[in-house]
Amino acid sequence: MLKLCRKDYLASRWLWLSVAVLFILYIIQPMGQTIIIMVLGTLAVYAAMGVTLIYEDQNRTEALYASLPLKRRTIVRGRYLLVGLILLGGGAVIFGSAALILALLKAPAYGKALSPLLSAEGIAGYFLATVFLLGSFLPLYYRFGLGRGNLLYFSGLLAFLLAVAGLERLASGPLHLISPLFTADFLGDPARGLLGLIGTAREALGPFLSFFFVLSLLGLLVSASLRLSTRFYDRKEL
Amino acid sequence: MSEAVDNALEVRGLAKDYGDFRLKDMTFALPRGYIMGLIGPNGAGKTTVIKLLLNLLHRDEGNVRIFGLDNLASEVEVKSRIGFVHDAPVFYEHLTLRKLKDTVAPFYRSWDETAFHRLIREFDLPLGKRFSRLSRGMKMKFALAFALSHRADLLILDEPTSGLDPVFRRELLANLSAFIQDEGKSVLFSTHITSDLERIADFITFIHNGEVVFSSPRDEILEKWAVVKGGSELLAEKYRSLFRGIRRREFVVQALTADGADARRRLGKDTLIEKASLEDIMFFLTRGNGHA
Repeated sequence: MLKLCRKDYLASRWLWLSVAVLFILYIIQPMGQTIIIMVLGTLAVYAAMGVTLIYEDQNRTEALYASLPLKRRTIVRGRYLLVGLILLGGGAVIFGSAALILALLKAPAYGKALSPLLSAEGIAGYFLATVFLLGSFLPLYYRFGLGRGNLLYFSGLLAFLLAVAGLERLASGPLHLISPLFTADFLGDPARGLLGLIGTAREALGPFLSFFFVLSLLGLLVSASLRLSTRFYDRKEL
Repeated sequence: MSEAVDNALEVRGLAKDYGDFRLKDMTFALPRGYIMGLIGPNGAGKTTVIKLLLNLLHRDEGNVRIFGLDNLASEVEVKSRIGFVHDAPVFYEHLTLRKLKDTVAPFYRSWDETAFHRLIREFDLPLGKRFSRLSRGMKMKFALAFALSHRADLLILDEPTSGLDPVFRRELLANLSAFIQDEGKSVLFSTHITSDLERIADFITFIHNGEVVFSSPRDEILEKWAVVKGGSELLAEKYRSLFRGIRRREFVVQALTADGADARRRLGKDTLIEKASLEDIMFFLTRGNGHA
């Protein structure tokens, strides 16, 4: 499987590097906000994986590598291993560059935006968000291909976000069940949203159980996604 | 032939339904040490057959055995012994040939670096050049260098000579002939350029509309099949069973028969009977009206 990763590395390495450089150039600006940095970090990882898939799609190399002495399930596992490595590499870039900026540049704006990232909640949030996003995309990619897969994925994601926002409006408005969640200062407060949720869970479960919980959730997401992708790719006609 | 143990490739009852096109009951066998040409007009199903052999498409029925092994159950072992060239060579266009080699070679345990470099020199390929900057002929040469560099026992080539100049086509055919000099090596070679096969193929499998029309030794085909030329008397009912395809142009009637000797006996010496080329056979079987 590492051979498959090496193949993708040789094909995509310069674009991966470009994505990393663009991300660092963004967070080096002192006006960044934690949630924006988190979203951009997740999108950067998505983009890094995307360029590999785009190269494969553009060059129509899928049939070439499927003709090599490999089982289809090995090809899918190789891709998941690659995504795992991109995720770790992306994490290293995001958290490494944030730590370096904090250490070298002392402006308070950096501390406010980057400090929440460099926490257990920040790291757990990064892995949960990226694994969820990539894990839900890959089965669609293997089932529908790059173009239709992306279209369905982003349509689904948009529908999901709209549904969440609609429910929040309904629950906090006419039904008076909760106080409004998505307020004007929501984006600026790193203690709320996903990180806040993880922080609450961490306090309730304790550090060991919450770590185990996050790990189990990640494992579940990856295993369900891998199973679906393998099934879809096995049926795919190349 | 298909019962022999020493077949490089055995295809039995292979079927694939696309809805608008159906591959039906494909059966043929390629003995070890020989070259088989898979011929047929465009859209006959040649590429579908090749993709089914490589498990790029899923068959609906039938089975494929390569070196006696099922191509699905023993996929990795089978594919490690196959060298393939797809109809349009596809590699990462932005990578150099050297880098492309690095993306493919590690998947073959029997990769022969020396053989690869010898072929690269022989084909005059620049390893430092990007794949996108090669001509179609050079791309095909590169794909062939790959196929020949891991000591494959069976080469599966899908239209390797299509769009190539005659000089390179001859070079490629010479390479294939040299390949099977090593005992036990075999080649399945799909093409619609029949003259290539008349030079090197030992067996011909002709497919049309998703069906095998015949699969026989080349010499037997060229010996038996014939084109009969004459007047409208050839259209008589008593001769209909003799012909597999008929073309009528003004006062001249041309017909293809699968049994030239029988045609000679029945039509007499006055009728012109010539040996059919593979191109004649393909033409009459696909375009000849009055197919009997």
